[in-house]
Formats: sequence, structure tokens, C-alpha cells
Amino acid sequence: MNQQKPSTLDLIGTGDTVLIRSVSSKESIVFRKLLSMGLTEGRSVTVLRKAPFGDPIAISALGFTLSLRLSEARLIEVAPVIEVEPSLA
Amino acid sequence: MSDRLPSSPRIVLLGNPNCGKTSLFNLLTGSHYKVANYPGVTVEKREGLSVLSTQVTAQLIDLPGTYSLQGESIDERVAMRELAAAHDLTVLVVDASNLERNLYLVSEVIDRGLPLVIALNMMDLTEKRGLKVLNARLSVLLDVPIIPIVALKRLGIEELKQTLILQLQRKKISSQRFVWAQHDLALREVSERDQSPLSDSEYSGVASARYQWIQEVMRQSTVQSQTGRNWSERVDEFVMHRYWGLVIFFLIMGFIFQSIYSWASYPMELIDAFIAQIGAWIGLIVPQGSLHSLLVDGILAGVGSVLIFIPQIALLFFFIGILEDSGYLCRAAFVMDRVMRKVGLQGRSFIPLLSSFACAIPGIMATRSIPSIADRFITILVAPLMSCSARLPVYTLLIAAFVPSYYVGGIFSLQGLVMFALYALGVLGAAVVAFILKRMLFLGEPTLFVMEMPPFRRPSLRLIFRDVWDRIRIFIRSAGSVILACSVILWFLASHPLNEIGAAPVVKESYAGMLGNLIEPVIRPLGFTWEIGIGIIASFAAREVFVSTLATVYNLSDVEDTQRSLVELLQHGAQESGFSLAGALSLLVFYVFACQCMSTLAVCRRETGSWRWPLLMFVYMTVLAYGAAYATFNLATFMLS
Repeated sequence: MNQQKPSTLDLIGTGDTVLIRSVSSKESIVFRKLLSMGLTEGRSVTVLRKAPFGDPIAISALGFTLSLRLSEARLIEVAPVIEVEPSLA
Repeated sequence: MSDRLPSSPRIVLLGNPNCGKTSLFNLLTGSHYKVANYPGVTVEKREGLSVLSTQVTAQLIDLPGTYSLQGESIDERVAMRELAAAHDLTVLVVDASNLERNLYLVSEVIDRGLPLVIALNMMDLTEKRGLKVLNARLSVLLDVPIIPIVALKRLGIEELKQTLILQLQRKKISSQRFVWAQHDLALREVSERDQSPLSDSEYSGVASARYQWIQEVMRQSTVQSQTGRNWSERVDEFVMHRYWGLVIFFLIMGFIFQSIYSWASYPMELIDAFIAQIGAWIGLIVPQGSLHSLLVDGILAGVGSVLIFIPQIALLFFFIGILEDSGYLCRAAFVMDRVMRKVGLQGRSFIPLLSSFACAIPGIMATRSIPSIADRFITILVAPLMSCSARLPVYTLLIAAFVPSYYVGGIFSLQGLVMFALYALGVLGAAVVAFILKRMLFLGEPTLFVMEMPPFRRPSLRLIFRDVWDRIRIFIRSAGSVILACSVILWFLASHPLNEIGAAPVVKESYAGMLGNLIEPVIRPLGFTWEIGIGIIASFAAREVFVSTLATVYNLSDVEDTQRSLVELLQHGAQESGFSLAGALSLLVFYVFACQCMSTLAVCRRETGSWRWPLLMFVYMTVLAYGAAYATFNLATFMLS
């Protein structure tokens, strides 16, 4: 069993691509904004780069670039791409 | 009859931020509203008439961009309120290069059951991004007429107009509905009344379902191919870099201020010489006397002294235009967010604050795209601390008169560096004030950053020059109205009452001189003389009036009529009245912080909805200006002695 601890987007390294598992609704406004921009479950996102001092970060999703603060990225729970791929096949 | 045209149809333009609504609006109505490359340029609704054909003229309404009908920021709410109002047709402007996300709003609007036309904009960018959109297929899937356009290149506009006329007649409503388990929820989401807003989990369900449907539409109507990294991404490697990003940011800002100071000096000298020439011509035609004095010492000195600054203002707006139109502003917001957060602002505050270097009024308006109240109000309150273009003439004049012309290390002019320091001082003051405001008034208020970064694009020089020209026109108009009036009034106050022999008095004994002397006790601790006092009082009409006021006062004081330039007159007058370098530095600092702009206070009242905030703005800025000028004068006197 490949039981990995769930990770959040703020912990993902530059250049890595992950899949969104869920977005926390702890911050309702951020939650709704991210969903309406298409950051829904199962969507793949790539961490493009980090700003000076490591915060905010820029990510790529649905073909556009979005910048988020780490505190906002922390609301997005993600999983590595490899873990989910077999179930898609 | 369903195919009769409404006599004056109302058409609404709706779409995501930065998708080109305003470009299209300008094309359809012949307007010249500001467009740029960052989300949230348009923050209020605008109306205009559009001639669709010889028979049909429509009322067109341009709305602020929104990602969904559930937006939270003020400009998004403006869009939603307007969409709920009665109109005949909605044009959804869709950024084709960002189709998938744009379709979210499309699906919401289709669910409202309104007659629609989709203008598929930026079709020129899609192929570069490896996306091929099959328009006809998409149109069938959505059951909405779709017209591909490139608004910036004016392509597809005629076809769009024809389709608008056709749709106004047919009023066809898309038969598509998003029939799924949460259909009721979806309808509640888009309902205009909003009686029972969706809970977070319901919202999540609807959003996911919509995007599932969108992915299916995308699969059927687009062909996606792999592309290499485009030039925009390669530029981002540098300008958004973890280490270089900040260095590049400061280099760009430094370059702009340095060039405004040094490049503008040549055309400024030309204008100066031209105005002196006009003065000489007037001298040939009009005999010495009151009329000559009014024309030369009043009007020409006053208005001319301000017109000299056209080249600097043009350059300032040109550079801001390049930054806005290229898309760099969002990158600046990205690299600066952490720094700005430390002081109680956020990266997005950067855009209004940068606009405030031109003028605080559009800057304060631009805060509408900041989604949280705390960040927005703090940004509004500190925006007037950014040195606006009206301070530029004051800085330039005082620096030219009092700061030695000297090159540090042979490259940077000392005068340019002092100029930069003044701008930096305003920024520093804003940081301190924001820090205090955040802790005193807005501690713990929620903030939101999430910001889209549009790809870089080549700035449109045509649009930038148009904007620069508009600004110059406004500046010239103010020179021809406010400053002209102030110059005439000031000339009168400074050359009356006539003395016993019927001649003009020395300025110190004129009405203006009395006024200056009246406030002298208050400003003496700051190192200012009574002449400066007159200038400061007059500044309340507009800051640049300070320059025209001094020009008039010193021209009248110049009894030998030596035709000296204002800088020379100021140096000469300062020597005589004991206005020192320390006083000049103090005066510069005073102008950095003082709130001398009625329009800014009025716009602050309008944007915050209360007199409390403009009052706070005026009080803190006045205290800050007086305190900082007092400290500067004493420190400089001590250091220079």
C-alpha cells in the first residue's frame, strides 16, 4: 500500500506538478474564488516559481498563471500525479 | 412581433477581467477609455452609444470584469448589479487564449436564460499557446452565436455588429441547461434575487459540476497541442525570479525616475526659451505699465512656469503606460507582496499606488479591484503619499534652484538622486503609515491575494501615446483655467494696493505679502519665508500653482526687470530673504507629505462612503508634513552649519 501523507500546495517544490484533492472551505472567500477559477478536485497544477522570500508563489492551472500566498496555497490539499494515474487508466 | 428591433436597445458587455471588454467597447463606441494588461483596469460601469447600422444605434454598457456571478470585490459587485438590470442583449467577451476558465462565467450566464452573443477575443493568441478553437463546434455546443474577434487589431468588428443586430431581432436564448444532480442549486446560484445563498459545500458541488461540463465542451471543441515555452514565460524567469526579481524591480523604478529628470531637461529648456521669447514680444507691443505687468508677470509667468513641465509629465505617463500595457505591473505586485504585507498592504496595492505617482485620483479609484476592505482602505489612505505629477514641478524647480548640479561617480546626477530620494521618502512614509493603520484600525481583518498573471504582450504604442496625449491635454487645460485664474488673482494681490503715488507696492507690502506675513509665524519654524507662505496657501487650489505663484511673486519683486529665469529669480530672492538650503529641503519634505489636493479628499469620501476617512487623511498628512519638515529643517541646519 502506497499510503502517503496528504500534502498541501504550499509544500510543493518549484517545477513539480500535482493533482488537487480538495480545497478547504476554512476561508470562504478564497475557497469560492479558487473554485470559480477552476481549481476543482482532480485538476493538475504546476508550481512555476516562488517570489523573493518564498512567498507568494505562482502556479499554472488550466493554461493560465495564478499567484497565491502560501497561506492560501495551504488551503489546497494535493496529491502527487503518479499516485492517482493508475485509477484513471 | 418578436423580430422587431427595440427602438434604443441596451447591450451589456460582460466577461472575465482582462479579456478585452474595454478594447471592444472603445471600438464599438468610438471612445478612448483606458485599457491595459492587468486584471481590473475597469472598476466602474461605462455607457456609450454604438452605431450598429444606419438604422440601429445601441446603448452599450461596459462592466468591470468578473470571474463568476458570485464575485466578492466591489468592482465585481458593480458588474452583477448591472447585469440584473433590464437590457436587451448580453455580449460575453471571452478570452479565447484562456477559454476553459472563461467558460465558467459563460455557463453561469447561459443558466440565467438571457439572449447572448459571444465575442471570442484574442484569437491571435490561441495558436501561439497551442490551442485550436473550433468556433462552429463551440457555438453548437453552447447554442450561442460566436464571433471571433481581435479587439486590439480591430478584426471581426463588422461581423460582430451584424450578429448583434440579428440577435436583437431574434432574442434567441440558448437551449443549453446544465442538467445534473445539482441543477436546482445551479439555478439558485445564478438567480438574481439571491434569497438563499449557497453554502460552501453546495457551491463546491456546483463549481465542480460546471467544470466537468466545461471539460467536456473543451474536449469536443478544441484541439490542444504541446508548445515550447513562449517568450512571456522566459521573461518571467527573470522578472519574477526569487533573487533577481527585486533587483530588476528597483532597477526599472530607478531608471524611470532618472530618465524623467535627465531626458526631459532638453525639451524643457526649449519651452522655457520659447516662453521667454513671447515675453520679449509682448514687451515690444505692450508699453510698460499695469497691462504689461499683468500679461508678463501675471499670466505668462504663472502659466508658462507650469507649461514647462509638460515633457516630464509626458515621460512619467509614458513609462507608467509601458508598465501597465506590457503586463509588468502584475509581476511587480508578485515580487513586492511579501514586502508590502509587512507594512499592512498587499501586492495588489502596488497597482493603485503606482498609478498614484501620476495622480492619486485614478489611483484611489483603482483600489476597487482589491478584494478585502482592510487592504483597500489602507491603500486609499496612503495613496496620496506617492509623489504625484503635480508635485513634480515643485520638486524640479526647488532642486534646480538649490541642489548643486554635480555627478556622483560621473553617472548619476545629484539632482536626479535627490528627486529619487523624495519619491522614496513618500513611499517610506506610506509604509510607516500603513503599518500603523493596520495595527490600529484593521488588525485581524481577512485579506485575499489570489491574482491572475496575464502573459506579457508587446505594449501598444498607439494606445500609450493616446493616453499620454490625453494627460497632456488635461494638464494644459488646467494651466489654461485654474492656473490662469490663480495667476491673475495672485498678480492682483501681489501688485495692490497701489501706494500714494499710484504705483504698485513692493510685494512685501501688497495684499499677498500681508497674507504671507500673516502665516509666517506658523511656517518660520520650518525655515520658510513669507514668499513661500503665499505659495503654500495658493497650493490648495492645486499643487503646481505653487510654482506659478512663486513665478508671479518673484517676477513682480524683480524691479530691475532683468528677464531672469525663475530658477535664477528664486536663487536671488532666497539670498535676499534668507531662505537657505535647509529651508529648501524642509519645503521639499513638506510637499512630499502635505495633503494639498481637494479632489483627492473628495474622491476618498466617495470611495469610502464616509467623511471619516478623508478627515483622517487630511489630519495625519498635515501633522506628518509639518513634523517631518520641522525635523528636516533643524537637522539640515545643524548638519550644514
